[in-house]
Amino acid sequence: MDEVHASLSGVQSSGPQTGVTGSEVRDPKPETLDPRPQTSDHNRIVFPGDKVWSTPVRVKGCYVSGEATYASVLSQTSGDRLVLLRGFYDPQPGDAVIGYVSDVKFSGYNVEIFQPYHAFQSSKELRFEYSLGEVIIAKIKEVSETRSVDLEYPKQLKDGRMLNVEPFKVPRIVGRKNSMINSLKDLTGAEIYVGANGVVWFSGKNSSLVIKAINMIREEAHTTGLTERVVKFLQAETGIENYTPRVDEEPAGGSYSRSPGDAGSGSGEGRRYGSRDRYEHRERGGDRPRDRGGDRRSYKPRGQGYRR
Amino acid sequence: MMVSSMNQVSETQNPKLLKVDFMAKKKDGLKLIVDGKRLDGRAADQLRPVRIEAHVLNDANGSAYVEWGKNRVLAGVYGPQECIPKHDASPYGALIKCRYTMASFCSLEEHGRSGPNRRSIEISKVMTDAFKSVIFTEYYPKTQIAVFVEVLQSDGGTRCAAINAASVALVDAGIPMRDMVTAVAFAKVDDQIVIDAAKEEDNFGQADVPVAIGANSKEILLLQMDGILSKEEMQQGMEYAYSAAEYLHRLQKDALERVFTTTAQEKKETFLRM
Repeated sequence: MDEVHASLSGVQSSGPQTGVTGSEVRDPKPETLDPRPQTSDHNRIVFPGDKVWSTPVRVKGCYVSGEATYASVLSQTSGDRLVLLRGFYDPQPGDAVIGYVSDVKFSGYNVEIFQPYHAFQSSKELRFEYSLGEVIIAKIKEVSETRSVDLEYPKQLKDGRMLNVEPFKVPRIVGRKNSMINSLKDLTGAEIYVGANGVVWFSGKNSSLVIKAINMIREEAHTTGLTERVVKFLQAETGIENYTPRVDEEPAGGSYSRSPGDAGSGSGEGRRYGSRDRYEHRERGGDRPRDRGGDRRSYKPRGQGYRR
Repeated sequence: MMVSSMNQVSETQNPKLLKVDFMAKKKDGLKLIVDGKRLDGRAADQLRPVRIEAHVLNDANGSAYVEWGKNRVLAGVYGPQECIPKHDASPYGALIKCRYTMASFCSLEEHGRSGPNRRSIEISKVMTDAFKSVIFTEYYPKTQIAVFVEVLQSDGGTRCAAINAASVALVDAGIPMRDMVTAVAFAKVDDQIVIDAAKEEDNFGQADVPVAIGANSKEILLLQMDGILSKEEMQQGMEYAYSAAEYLHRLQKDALERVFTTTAQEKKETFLRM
């Protein structure tokens, strides 16, 4: 308190100011008496209302007022990028999200994705049926004006556990070119899926280690060199030596990461989650063929006299 | 104009005895300001010591704890979440629901002793209005943002402490905002304008004006006045309030920055000191 008090005496009061754009950039090098760690101009924390750039840039976590860009969310500048330190999930078409079936309706399923948005999986184009409480991973097909989310290509995840993390930390859990998630999978042997909504689903014997590692990433999400530290931690826990994080050449965005079994089988290598996957569900034993009721004895392909 | 924080508070007497004595003395014409010094030894432009901690609750989306003189205020932010009741939800944006409550043990008086009352409903309302004008509610249609503020100990100026705490908690939660909000009250005591009125000055002074200010935009987001002031007195008080807001904004930013610069061990020690 003393130091803060002392440094204040150097500040000249600017008195009343008017106008929304009258904001000023926070001095990156405060008075010498300021006890805070000195942050360089390239790596400073910006608070809502702080000016980030003097040119209009429309990025997440910012708003443009007049000719300048101001932060709207607590973030950190990193060169000419802005890394969010806080934030909520903004659903985008193409994102993979994980949730559980919270209601079964005539036309489809309500899916709880742990966000304020209402997610719905229509059963119109679905060849399988789900029941209450089953965990699915699905792609976002469409986001309406009022942020209702329509899902497509669902796939059931069986016998695993879910962990909620902050959605803005998901990029750290996946890592650059999937390096973090690959390390987690390789070193723990677990099958892991990460939803853009911040749900991590995993199964395997080492689940307590996965939880420990994910909590470590959550706590240190704003630090650098995290992958190395997590790998070191996992190596110490598992006794595995000589491991270097495996990177995927395809971009991580959009598609969710594959399980280690898929990656090793050859046929799965480099495959994106797409329509083909829908036909492989039954082999994996996850999804059940849809019960169409009545006395229908066999499935007929669509478009040949088949009526719903 | 310089607003500074007072570092020592003299707590020599039992507050209950102090109160009784004070009531009697006030009737006998006790001065609230003697030789330019206030009851607790502060100058007219001096704030009580303020301490802010951000991110103190694990399960809230955002939280903050503020110690302001003898005031202790805890704020928690939940949301955006599903709006309840559902018919309140607006397709045009999130609903902001602030709830200011006083703990039943927060003061010697009957504040908060019987649940929400007229005063706490009013404060909840003015807080909601202040935050409505800085939060980008349109980003989260059909949802609500719940801000809970609990006054654990009160000594005058709790609504300002509550707004400061809620502002830090909202930023900690990651709610997109145009600006941060700082709040401070000035008062007219013994014909003199003072910043940050304590309880006795508030109760026995001539006027009390809580102000909430947009930290960067300098917009006035809340202005209430209890009492009568001249134009000059108002200007003088606002000048105090603006420079106090600058100082408080700095403390708010410090608190948020500390969430990222302190280690887990340091955080634990901070918690034990509280």
